[in-house]
Amino acid sequence: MKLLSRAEEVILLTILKLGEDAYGVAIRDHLKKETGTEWSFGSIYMPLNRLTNKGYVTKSYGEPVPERGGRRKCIYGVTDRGISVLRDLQRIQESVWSGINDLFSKLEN
Amino acid sequence: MEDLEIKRPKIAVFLMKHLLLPFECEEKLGDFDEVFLREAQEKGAWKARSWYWKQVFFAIPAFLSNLFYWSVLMFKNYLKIAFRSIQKQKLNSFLNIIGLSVGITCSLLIIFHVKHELSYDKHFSKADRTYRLIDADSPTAKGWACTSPVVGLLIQDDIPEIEKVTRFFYMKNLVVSYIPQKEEVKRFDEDGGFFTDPETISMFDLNFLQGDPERALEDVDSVIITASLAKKYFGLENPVGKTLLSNWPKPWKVAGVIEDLPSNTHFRFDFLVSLSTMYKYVNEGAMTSRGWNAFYTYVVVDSNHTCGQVEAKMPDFIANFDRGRGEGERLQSSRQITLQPITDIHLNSHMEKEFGPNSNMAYVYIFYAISLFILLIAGVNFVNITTAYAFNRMKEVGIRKVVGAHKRQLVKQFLGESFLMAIVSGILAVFLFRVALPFYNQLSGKSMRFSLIFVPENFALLLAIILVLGVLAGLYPSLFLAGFKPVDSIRGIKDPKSYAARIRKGLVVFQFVISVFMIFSTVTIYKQMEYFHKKDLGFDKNQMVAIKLYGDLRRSFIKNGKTVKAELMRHSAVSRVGAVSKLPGERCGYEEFRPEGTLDDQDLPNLRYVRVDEDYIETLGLTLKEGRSFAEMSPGKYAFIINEAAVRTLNLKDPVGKKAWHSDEGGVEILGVLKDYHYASLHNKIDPLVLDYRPNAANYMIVKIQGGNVPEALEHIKVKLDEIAPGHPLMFTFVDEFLNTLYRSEEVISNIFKYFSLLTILIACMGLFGLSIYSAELRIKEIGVRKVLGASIPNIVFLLSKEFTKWVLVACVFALPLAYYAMNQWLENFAYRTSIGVEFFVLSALIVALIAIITVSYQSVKAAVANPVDSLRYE
Repeated sequence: MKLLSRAEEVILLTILKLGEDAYGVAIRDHLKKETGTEWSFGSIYMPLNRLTNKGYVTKSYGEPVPERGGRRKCIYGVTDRGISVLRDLQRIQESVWSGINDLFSKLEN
Repeated sequence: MEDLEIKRPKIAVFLMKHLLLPFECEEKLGDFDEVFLREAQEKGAWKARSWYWKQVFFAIPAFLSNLFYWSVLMFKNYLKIAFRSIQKQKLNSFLNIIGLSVGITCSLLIIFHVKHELSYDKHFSKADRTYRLIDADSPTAKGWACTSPVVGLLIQDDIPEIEKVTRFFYMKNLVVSYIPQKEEVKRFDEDGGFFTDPETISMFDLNFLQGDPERALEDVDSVIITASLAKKYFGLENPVGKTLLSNWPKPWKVAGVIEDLPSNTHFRFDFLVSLSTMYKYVNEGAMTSRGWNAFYTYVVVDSNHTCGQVEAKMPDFIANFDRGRGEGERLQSSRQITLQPITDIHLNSHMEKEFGPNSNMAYVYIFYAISLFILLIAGVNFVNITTAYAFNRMKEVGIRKVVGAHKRQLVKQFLGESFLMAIVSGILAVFLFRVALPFYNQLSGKSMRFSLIFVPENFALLLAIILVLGVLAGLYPSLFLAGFKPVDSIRGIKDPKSYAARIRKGLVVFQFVISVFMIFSTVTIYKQMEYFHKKDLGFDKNQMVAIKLYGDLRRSFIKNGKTVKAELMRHSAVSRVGAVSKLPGERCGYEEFRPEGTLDDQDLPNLRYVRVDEDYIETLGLTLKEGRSFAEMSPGKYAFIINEAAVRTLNLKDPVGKKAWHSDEGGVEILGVLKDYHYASLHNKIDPLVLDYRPNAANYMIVKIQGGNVPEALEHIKVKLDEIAPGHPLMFTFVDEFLNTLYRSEEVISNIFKYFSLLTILIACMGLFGLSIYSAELRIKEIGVRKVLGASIPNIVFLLSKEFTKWVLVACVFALPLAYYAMNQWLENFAYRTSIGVEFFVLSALIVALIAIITVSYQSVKAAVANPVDSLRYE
């Protein structure tokens, strides 16, 4: 089983959430909202490329729009393999994080 | 939608599109555009633009690392292929690399030579403000390098813009000796001694190793010497405070030791004596003479003024100066003193009374041209061989293109290969440079060191040569190679573009134009040198020994000249002994010659004078045209003999028997007229000359030796002279050798042309050789068929050599007229010169054609004798 980097993970989740709207700008905006920090395009494209190469993400093209200087959108979608990876991740996440809350509260006291 | 019209930063978009996002850029650019628009609407166009730029900058590091990664990968591949193709075409690569490295070596040698020539006197800290005062209007049109001692004294009073002045006076015929307490006396003939003002030290940055620079030249009878002179006289002793003896009345006290001057200065001095010494011992009349132009005077103009401002004040100064002259109106002719930049002296000054022979700016250009020629020829070789053998690479190009290589990438690859060649050649050139340097130094008389190449500036030059060569030689072949169509290249057409073949022919012709030019020049220069050596000078220069007269020897010779001569002539080989003030080839001074019947205020040209004794004319074997020689004269009497040129210049009728004014005696008879003989170099026409009978002015004894046994005669002379002046060191010179030194700079040019033209033609032939292999390869089937049908070997050799020979002939047509013109210009430098005959043209064309034919025929013969079965067989 393969682990994803945090950026890849977050981006993959975002694409899943955005559904039909998942293209560069939207992903970036969403990430900004979620994390509160500015994401450069580079830090989105690089993980996106990797995800595409690994086969977790597909690309499809939308219609050209004037706001984009007459250029098409590239809309990303999560593949089945992507979803199963996310599932795995979630499971690991939960098992790794379980019991942490107790420890936190102990430390606070 | 006016918002959409907000201008995007064009350059940033361009960069983003072409450099940073070369693949799948469209949707990404779209993303950028969208955000850009939003930013623009929210924060304004300016902010948005700066945002866009920021994105570009953010993307740069990733871009670079990406680029680096891939280029390293590709580079490794290119390098591998380059080495493989070098290996595959061993002979061609060898020819290319040798040609290029020899070319680079030659141009390095020449460029360093020229740089040394150009660097003369520039190292003085005040070089840009230092000038020499020269008399531009001297007796000859050549100008006079010296001025009166008074000029230097007075000029600052009249022209305050002059910050510093110093004067030099050359000490002729000087013998210096040092008498140590225990060892033997050290005595040498010195020709590098000058009197000078103390300002010299600061003006020319003399670097004191010992002694006090402030006081060194202040005192009377004090001397500063160079380190090498100190070593010569004092060895390991401390020279400061010791004394040197000379022909001057008091011994000189060494006040300091200076570092030797660098080789790139026109000054040639070994020691400097305080000028106050001269004021003490020389009579006042001479030192205050305004007409005695014997002092090199240098001035430094202060940094706030220009040379022009000083020159503007010159006429007033000269007027003032002449007013104080009081030597009669006659001498007050139009004196003209001008400022000559010190940095101009070495290359552009050819006056009378220079420090020594100077070089010539024209030679600097010639040298540059040679180095450029050689580099060009080597570059052309590279182009020709690479394009000719391009078909070997066609398949590779085709495959690369099919697989997806851009033309740009291919150009880069082949350029890279030519760079690799250039770099390898450059490295080899450094070694060759090391090997050739001692040899070149000997040829050119320079003393360059290998470490020169590691001076950053020179090393950069080497890199620049490699770079330029790599680009120039590689550009055309790489464009040519990269331009192949994949289909053609895989189908295997051998010479796909005939225009490339035409360019190759053109380039070969060009190479041979240069070669023929060089050969023609070499032949002409060689002929001129031969002319220098063989020209009948009007006397027999061979087997004549000049012995310098000084000290005891001179005293005894002047007292009993007759006895000394008789003693020497006891040996059967010594046929005659004469004495003279200046050797043939030495500069004779100018004096006025006033035959009777001329008016006192008549302006007469000054003539050259040489002082001789009664045997001089016979010793040299000069021919008298009229009258008689000095043979019957004896010391105490006075007489003149003049040459034909003097008769012409003064417009004399029947000069023999007439009288002329003499400084010691008044009216003195002109005994005869000599046929013109070459008492100076063949550069100039024979000047009017006066032979003045004055045996006590002799500086040299000239001994004519007869028959073959020169060493024995010399031994005899040595023994006899030692009897006459015991323990006196003798200075021998052979007159013919001395005369050869007059043509030193031509000798250098001649040598350099000889070897470099050889190299040019060698490199050109290497290219030709490569091409001949190619053309034989191309026609291998044709030759096979011809042989089968009955062609003989000579037939085929002729067939293959014909074309190349034609090119060489075409080259001759272009080159010969050019070379003829250039060499005529060069010969103009000499009043006496060889004439360029038809044989020069024929000879140089023949030499080049012959070399070319030999080069080509090796391959043609090889192709012609090959068995047609091998060439016609189909695999």
